[in-house]
Amino acid sequence: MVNSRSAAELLAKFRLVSDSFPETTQIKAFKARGGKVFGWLCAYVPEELIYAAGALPVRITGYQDETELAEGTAHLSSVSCSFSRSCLQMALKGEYKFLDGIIAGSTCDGARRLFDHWCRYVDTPFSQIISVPRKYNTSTAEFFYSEVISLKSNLEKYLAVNITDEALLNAIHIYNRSREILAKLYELRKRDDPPISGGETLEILNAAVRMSPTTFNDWAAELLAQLDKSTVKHHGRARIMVIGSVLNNVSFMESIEAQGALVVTDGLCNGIRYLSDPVIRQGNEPPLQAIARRYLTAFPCARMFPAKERFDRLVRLMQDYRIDGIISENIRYCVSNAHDLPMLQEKARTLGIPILELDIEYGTSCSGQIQTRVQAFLEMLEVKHPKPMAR
Amino acid sequence: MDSSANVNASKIDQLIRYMKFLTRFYKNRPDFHYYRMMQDYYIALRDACQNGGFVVAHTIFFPVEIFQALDLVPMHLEFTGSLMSLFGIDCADLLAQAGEMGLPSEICSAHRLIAGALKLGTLPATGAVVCSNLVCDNAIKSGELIMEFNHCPGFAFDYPFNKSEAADKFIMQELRDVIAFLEQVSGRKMDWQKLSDNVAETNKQIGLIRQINNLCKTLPSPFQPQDFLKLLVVEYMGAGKIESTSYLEKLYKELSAMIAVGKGFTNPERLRLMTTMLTPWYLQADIDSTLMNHGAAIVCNPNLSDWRELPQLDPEKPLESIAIKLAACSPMRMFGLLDNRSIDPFISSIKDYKIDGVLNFNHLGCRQLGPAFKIYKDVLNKLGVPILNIDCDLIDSTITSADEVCQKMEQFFEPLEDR
Repeated sequence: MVNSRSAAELLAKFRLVSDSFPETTQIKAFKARGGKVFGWLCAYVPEELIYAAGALPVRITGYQDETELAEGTAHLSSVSCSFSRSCLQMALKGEYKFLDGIIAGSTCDGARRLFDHWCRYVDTPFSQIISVPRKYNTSTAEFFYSEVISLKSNLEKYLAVNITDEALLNAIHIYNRSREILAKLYELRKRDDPPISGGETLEILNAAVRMSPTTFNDWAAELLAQLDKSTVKHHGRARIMVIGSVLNNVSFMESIEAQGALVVTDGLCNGIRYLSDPVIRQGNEPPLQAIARRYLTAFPCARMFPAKERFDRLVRLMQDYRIDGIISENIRYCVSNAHDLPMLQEKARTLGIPILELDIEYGTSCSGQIQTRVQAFLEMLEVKHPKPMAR
Repeated sequence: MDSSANVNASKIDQLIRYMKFLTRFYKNRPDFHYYRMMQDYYIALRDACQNGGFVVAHTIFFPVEIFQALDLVPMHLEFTGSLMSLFGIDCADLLAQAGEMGLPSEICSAHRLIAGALKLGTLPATGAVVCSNLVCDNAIKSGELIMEFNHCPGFAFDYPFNKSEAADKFIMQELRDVIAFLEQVSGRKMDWQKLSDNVAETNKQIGLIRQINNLCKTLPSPFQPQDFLKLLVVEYMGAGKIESTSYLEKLYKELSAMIAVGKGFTNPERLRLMTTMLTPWYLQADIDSTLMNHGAAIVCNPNLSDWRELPQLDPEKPLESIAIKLAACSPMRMFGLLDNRSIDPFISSIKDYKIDGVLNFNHLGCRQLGPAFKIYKDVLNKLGVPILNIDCDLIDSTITSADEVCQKMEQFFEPLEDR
């Protein structure tokens, strides 16, 4: 753990945010001031637009620990991924009743059906799903932009506000700042003995989408400065990249690290994909157009076509972070990731990087069976790389 | 890439043998045209290599009129797998191969089967793949996997989830782009006149399907439930083909003649049923005989072969017509947003067809239908119409036995009969 007092205190503050999840103290405070809170589902929904409308965007996630999903399953059936079932169950139980709106992307079957059930069975005043194309070219960019414009127009109507370019530029600035700080935090993880663990990083990432972005930036910048000069060093038996489905349960990451893995990067939608690719305006284009382009072209989800761009980025990460092995945690019925795995296996094989495939349920910590498999995987990596891992 | 790779098409050969046999068997029946259309389809596919044909594998609901007008040899991926299942062709080796490729069992069996088949060389090598998100994540993702393992180029037809003017414009662009892609990889040129002719033929076919659906409103319904699959195959494999029109014309005539003498699929007809989607391909005969034993008939499926939203297509504007047809294709109502547009046809069909109960064959790999069940159930409960859910696999016959499925149906029918 981080032993610099100040960094430890800051990490504790981030942890506290998630301790009060789903209606975090930050959200409560915002609501108490009369603010509107909008839940977004999937990383293709532009937070900047919600923020520019004067509302607080928060990411909809499921239970943070292993929970019986009877209600979620009764609605979505067991063939839906446990992430969507978990989110829906929380909503059905009223745990998201503080939301004034829900905005989803048509990103996968699970998200689409979750949205269907949310609209029909959960009393959230505003709801919209935006079409998210599967590929990037001039035509898809133009179409996605039109979808984002439609979202803007509906938000304006519902909130009775005018979302100005100035407000959008301010939102771009704030969220780009978050990305910049988080990217620097990830840079620290490239060190031989990073000052921050994978579990701690996930804690920060979880908080980032559950609180005011300006407060987040203040805290995160302070933490970054502390970590940069910290003498804390995390060691591990192997440098690991975690890829796969959305992952919010910190104890899962901690459990992997407790086996001796040093998780230094990831390919997750709430990890590297969240912080990658700032919004960059081209010339005098409308800020909203720049936002739309960023969301469509950022580090792709496994849903996007072709998979090459995603694989190329993952390969770059493997090289940049000097990865010894990959742990792929795939939530059952997360079909896009499942389809990609055979191809990704092939790419990683050419780089000599083994992949441990874990089929898990969302919210799982690490069962004994998973721990045993991780243990065996790390042992295999140690045999493969007999040199000391502390580099 | 040339599609002339060596072909181990034993399973395609088996399909052709069945089609040939059935063509002879149904010599004077409407099905003669259906099976001849299918036979020609698979012979063209099998012999594409020696005939200089260019094979394009494609996923479900992509408008096949485009392939025909480009003089390409289409291979409908999901239906080819499904037809193998229908004819009892052993597919265990294909599914096992998919498992070896790393595809987990929660991926839809239709898509696992295809991946396994192409990897094993059981299906003809493809010159290109056109996959789409018209239905689900599986369709577009399996398309890409096939491209990778077959080292062939591909096009992902990106279909918007929401309807809007911008979406309509986008669809047109996607259609133009896919045509340009196919022209480039195959060296063929689009024959726009042929596309117009195909659209005109599709118009006729859809008109006939509507008329056939109307005949099913009659008590008793003359329609044999397993023929819903034939309508589906005609719509999405045989669209625009003259042989398909012949099948539908003859079928319409035959059904009309049955109605004229008061003959139904089952006599007397005691139960009128609706299905939410497909019935398992390999259980057609068992399902029909269970229905018949109970005087039950499946008389409609608002999520299949229901063209209520489609206006008359304009052959003079073939590409626009294709786009309009895509938007009105009824399965897309189930695979899209489950809003009133999706649910209302369900409700009106209950009335129009005098439905007593609904069957939901829940394909275990389908992440759309399973989650839709609760919504359907709640809507039907309000109407006082019971629905039966049967967990099964539409293709893999090893998941649920015929006895299990038929028993569940019988248990459902008994209280319905009492009502």
